[in-house]
Amino acid sequence: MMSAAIFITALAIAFAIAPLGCFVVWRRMAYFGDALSHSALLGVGAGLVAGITEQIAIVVVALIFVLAFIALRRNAVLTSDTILGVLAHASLAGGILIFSFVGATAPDMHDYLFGSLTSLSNVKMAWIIGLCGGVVGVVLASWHRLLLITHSEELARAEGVSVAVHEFLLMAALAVMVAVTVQIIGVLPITALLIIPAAAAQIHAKSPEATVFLAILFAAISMLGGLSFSLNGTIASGPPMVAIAVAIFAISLFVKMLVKRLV
Amino acid sequence: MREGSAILDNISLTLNAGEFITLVGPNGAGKTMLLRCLLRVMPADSGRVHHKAGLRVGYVPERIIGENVMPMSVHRFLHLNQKMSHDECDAIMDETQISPLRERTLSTLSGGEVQRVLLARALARNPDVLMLDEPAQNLDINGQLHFYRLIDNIFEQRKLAILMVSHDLHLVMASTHKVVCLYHHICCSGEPSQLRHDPSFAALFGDDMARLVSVYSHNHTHDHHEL
Repeated sequence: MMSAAIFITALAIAFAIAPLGCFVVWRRMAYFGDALSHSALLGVGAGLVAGITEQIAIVVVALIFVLAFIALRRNAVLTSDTILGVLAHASLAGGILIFSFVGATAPDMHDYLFGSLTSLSNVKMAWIIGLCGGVVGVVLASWHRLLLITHSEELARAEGVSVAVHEFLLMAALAVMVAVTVQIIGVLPITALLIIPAAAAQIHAKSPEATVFLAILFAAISMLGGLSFSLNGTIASGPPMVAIAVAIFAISLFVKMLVKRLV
Repeated sequence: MREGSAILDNISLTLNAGEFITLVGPNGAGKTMLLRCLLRVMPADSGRVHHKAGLRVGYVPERIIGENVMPMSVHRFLHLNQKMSHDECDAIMDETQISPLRERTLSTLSGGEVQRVLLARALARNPDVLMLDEPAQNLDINGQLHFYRLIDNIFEQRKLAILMVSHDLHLVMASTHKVVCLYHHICCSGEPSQLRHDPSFAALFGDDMARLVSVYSHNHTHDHHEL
């Protein structure tokens, strides 16, 4: 029964993470996703110290991360990747320090780094499914405008589409996804599950919609397959998911090369 | 229009219905900035930009979409975030000579093809004014000729107003459209035949018309002419 709920939750995550992953690939935000995921550890730590629900603490810290990034990028003379590097490692160090100060009562950091299903409650899963639904809703509602700003920010501005608003929407949606997936996927493998299904889909797809559709399929296969390896609790849940995603990517490349040679 | 190291200062420019103005000037003269102010994409620190009520503007940006990794067909891109009927789309693709490119992916297009697709997208808004930022910048000489001829045709057929930033002085000065020379302020303006003999134009671009394309010296003080 428990496992059925976990599979449904993973499916919900696949639906939300795949379209975001496509934008991460198209907009070259891979390092942003990676840096943002590190804020999750600080979020868990902040939740421990403040005594608030872990998921809420992670979302709040991740949103602060996003806002700090936007503010620094606007003012500083530094490039985006440098700013992200500073923020990512500040979050990582902060999170680890809090974990070690809290000491024995702290949860196992390994669970957050690589994903663990052991403390996944029904309430948490309901939260995850709800937030994933919210992310899918936001992406669907602003789909054409997101595609336009991805093509040309200059053109979008001239046609009256706010680039700042839509870029923030994407970043905020990513912040939410980091928070909801930190337990099932883990901090370190999150970027992989954003990028790899989208990259594999990109190899075949001829339109943005086809890319997203395939990416959802690949993400779902990776997540459900990875889960079935880790349900007995002996291995972390993130790494097998990434392994399956990488296998799909490799097969995609191979099939594409084969088709090219035959045609 | 911008304070501090005023990049644009004391500019007064009117684009009337059915008028074609080409904006020329050396690199860093503020041409693109002026266009962005006029598009209202960028707020000016002081001064006003007045659009006629209900003015529809079509914009062809300088940036190229070729490096984009998102897969999208030309046809889909023209419809992206704007409504257009099937017939309208066919007509505009004919007009801009991109009908054969209909199902092609944007990233596979050449520089000239991309510019024509961007032009088609701007025309799909059925604009009263078309603003183009160095539209032929990355084209070879044949491509430039071809593109400017296309713009001329559209100008004549559609009776719209055009404001174009251009670096291609040899082609601009061969046309009959009004030219405005910008270097932080408006140095001179008028028809190419008049400008040829204007001392401030010579000061801005050098005396020898044949060397205009390569010589962009501007170490003179130039008189200020009101439009």
